[in-house]
Amino acid sequence: MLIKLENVSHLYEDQSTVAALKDINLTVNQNEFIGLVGHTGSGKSTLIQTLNGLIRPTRGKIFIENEEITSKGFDLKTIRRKIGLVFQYPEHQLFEETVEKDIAFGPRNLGLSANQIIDRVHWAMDMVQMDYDEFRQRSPFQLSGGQKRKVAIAGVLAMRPQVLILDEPSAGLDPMGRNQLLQLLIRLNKEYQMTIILVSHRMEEVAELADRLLVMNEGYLVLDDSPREVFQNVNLLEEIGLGIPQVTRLLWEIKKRGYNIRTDLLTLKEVKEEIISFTRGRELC
Amino acid sequence: MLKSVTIGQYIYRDSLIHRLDARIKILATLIVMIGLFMVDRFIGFGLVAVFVGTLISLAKLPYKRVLRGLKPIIFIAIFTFILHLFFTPGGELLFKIGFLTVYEDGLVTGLFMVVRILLLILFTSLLTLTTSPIELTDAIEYLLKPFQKVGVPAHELAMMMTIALRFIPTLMEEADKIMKAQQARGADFESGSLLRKAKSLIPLLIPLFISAFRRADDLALAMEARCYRGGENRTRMNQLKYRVHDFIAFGLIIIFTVTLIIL
Repeated sequence: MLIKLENVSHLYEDQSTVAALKDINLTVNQNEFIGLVGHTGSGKSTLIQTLNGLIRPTRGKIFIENEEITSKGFDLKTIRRKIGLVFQYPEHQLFEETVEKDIAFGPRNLGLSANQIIDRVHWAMDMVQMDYDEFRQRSPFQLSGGQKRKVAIAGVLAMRPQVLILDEPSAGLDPMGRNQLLQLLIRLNKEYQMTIILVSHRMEEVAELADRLLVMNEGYLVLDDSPREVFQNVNLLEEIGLGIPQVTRLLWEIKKRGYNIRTDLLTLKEVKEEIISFTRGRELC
Repeated sequence: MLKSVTIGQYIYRDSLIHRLDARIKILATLIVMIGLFMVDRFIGFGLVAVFVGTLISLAKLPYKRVLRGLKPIIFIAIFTFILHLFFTPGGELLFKIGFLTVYEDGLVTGLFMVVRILLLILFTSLLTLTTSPIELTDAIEYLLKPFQKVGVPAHELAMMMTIALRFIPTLMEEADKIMKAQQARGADFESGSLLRKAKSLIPLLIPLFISAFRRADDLALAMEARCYRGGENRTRMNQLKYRVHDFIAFGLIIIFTVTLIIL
């Protein structure tokens, strides 16, 4: 396994509104695509920051490739090259004069050679579908919001992490930008065997992409299962202020009215087929 | 790491001193400061020390916290002491090491100056300890009003101070976020030579400035959209009003300062 958390707890000194973590046990395997959902302040952000050593948990152990990163004196920089973290609104962290230099910041910190850095930048820009020759000399501050986001994500990708963690990467993007981004994540996961952890508010998004779903509430990890199983817990999810995908919701409503229909379907396509086959040969209305 | 920085040193308590009008407190501080400069005997300092002590307990402040405020100026105090100690001739020669000579007057003036500095800082810190930053800016605006005729933009200054105070925590949070984001990209803010450390701050400072400017722009736009216009005829949410105890306190301060000077 790639990442393992043992009884990880974290408390903030000032007891502020930022959520704490309470006794988290979790393992992440190679090449998984994990969705992490939870209400604002449920501890999602704290959890992902402990994963790459930005926050040292007050209790518990974290292992990455069987190395304990929570032990004293561990060089956290080695973790940063294994685990890439894309923060919320990552475009706010751009600072260089050109797109190329900004994306090269991560690889440069890794101490790569000039040639390797150029390769990495080229590759990362290809991945986010930005033309290398057209954009590399442009100032990141003159780009549109969506393009800035792409540059920022490319900046993390260029470090070629084994695990990529993204905090609400599609927030504020238009439908096309969101779609492109999600396609990119699928590609990284399938083609490059990257492990992806996607933090999101949009249930449809994680339901469609993730093969495993983590649900957090008030610092606890309350559910950890496949999306199909997780979304069976309708009552629990609504209690903690999360919904279920709208199409799944539709199936539940149909079932509530006394019809015997499946409720463990998540995507529009699946649900459409279920409803068609359900109505076939039946007198309705 | 940035969280440990506290802004201002206001300690909220429900006390007589806290409830005093901020304008009175500012004026009183100024008057006592002048008094402190006119004191020429140790007994005057004794009086002020007792006075400060009384105020601290009246304001229900923890002595330790108040005294800790002196820490940053200890170096200046020691420096002043040494300067006076060695360079004030007069009185009896106490001792002599090489070219350094210490006279009696030097020792006395040195001590005198140190006590004066410490009391000065201690007393003025009482103002910021018992008055919230917002009350302070309101009071400063009010006190500066008479100077508006000669072109002092009192309202604008106060508004700027209020906005700056309001945005300090926001910017702190932002800095923390950007710092983490850059660390996640392998930036190192801690090790290396001084030059390297300074250079490593660029990835933090540029995004921080950009976001500060963006916020300033947004705020200005939002204020304009709500027809903000400072100056004449603008009313405020918290009206400052003098009450009886403010006048009594002011009277006491005057009596105290006069006694101090006569002594």
